[in-house]
Amino acid sequence: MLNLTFYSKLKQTLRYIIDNTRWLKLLLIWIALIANHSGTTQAIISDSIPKSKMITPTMFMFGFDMLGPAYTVISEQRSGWELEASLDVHKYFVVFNYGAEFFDFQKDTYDYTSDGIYWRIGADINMIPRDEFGSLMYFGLRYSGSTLTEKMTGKVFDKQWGTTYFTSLNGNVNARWIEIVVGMRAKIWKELFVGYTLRLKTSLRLSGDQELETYRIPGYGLASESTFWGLNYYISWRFKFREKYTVPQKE
Amino acid sequence: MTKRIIISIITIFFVSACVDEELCTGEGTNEIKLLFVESGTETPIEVALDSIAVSGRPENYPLIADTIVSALTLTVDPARTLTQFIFYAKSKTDTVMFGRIDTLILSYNVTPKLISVQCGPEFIFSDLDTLKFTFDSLQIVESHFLLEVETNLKIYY
Repeated sequence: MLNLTFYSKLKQTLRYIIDNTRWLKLLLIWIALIANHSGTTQAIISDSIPKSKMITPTMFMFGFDMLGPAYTVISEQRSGWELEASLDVHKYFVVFNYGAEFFDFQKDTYDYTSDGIYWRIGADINMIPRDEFGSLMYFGLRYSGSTLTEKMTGKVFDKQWGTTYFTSLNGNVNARWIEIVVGMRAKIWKELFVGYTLRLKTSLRLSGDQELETYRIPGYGLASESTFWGLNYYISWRFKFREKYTVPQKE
Repeated sequence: MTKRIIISIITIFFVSACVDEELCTGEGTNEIKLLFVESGTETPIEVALDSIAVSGRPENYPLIADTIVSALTLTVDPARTLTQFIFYAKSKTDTVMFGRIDTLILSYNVTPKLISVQCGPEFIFSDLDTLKFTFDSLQIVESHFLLEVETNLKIYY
């Protein structure tokens, strides 16, 4: 019964995504392009490792998002940070993100703050697992969550009732959503990688007492949007346990 | 290359122009629509109102004074979660009815919302209900506060 409900909800969510978003076509084109690239690479590099050993992780990547600190420096309204850790299993990656965001909008008629942490857990499929430099081109899924507090003080004018002053606080709001991601990492020096992750965030669910209508969710974006785009630009360091694939010598 | 740069600049220009012209029309309204109908039937009737007073405020409701209506729009107090209206009627058009006074206390939820950074806050009103009324009868047709709603409350008079 529980499984049926889960699969029913999953089916509904996928149907909603397919029906309501134009990005799917772009995603399919992107997958087709990198799959083509992957096929070419695989065709010229032989695999000398038994498949049973492929599932043993060969590396751990740890990085941080550079856009969060950039916002902190250039914007008075927004600050944040985000870390990313990933572990490979064959051509798949188990990925975990953890971060925090703070928003502070101060205007003549109101003062709004949103402060919270967020996390994401999911998996990526690396479309170029045998790249000789270890670069990645991937797509994947994330299950994400955020816990936040919000506060707004302000005033609203009504022609009948005059000016109303208010202070509202959301002490503990929880948000959950799903992300579909595409991205790449390129090796630039030794074990240093840089690259981006483009995110389509959807299926937002909110819970907790909301004295104030939730506006900005750390890690997600605007609560009023049923889908939201996001971009992260990571700088990561790879900790290699062993070589994954043997690159044949050119004759 | 130059062409791409020009296209990028034009795109940024138009996108930022769109942001500047954001319309600040929120979804919140504190209006409720009343319809007076004859008790026992669903026929709309006209009610002659001297005024409508709001409890806690010394002045009569400024929009309603010495008027004959069958449908009426009132606004609830955004600073509170209930509003008490007192209806002073002096007559009806068909049957004479002098000096009738009725009370209507409405309850509702008020939730502040930030429309956008540029537009600022508004109030979202919801869950309209009645705490007390002295009319013959009353029916909540629509408990949501929506501008497009024709009737929130049907008052049997």
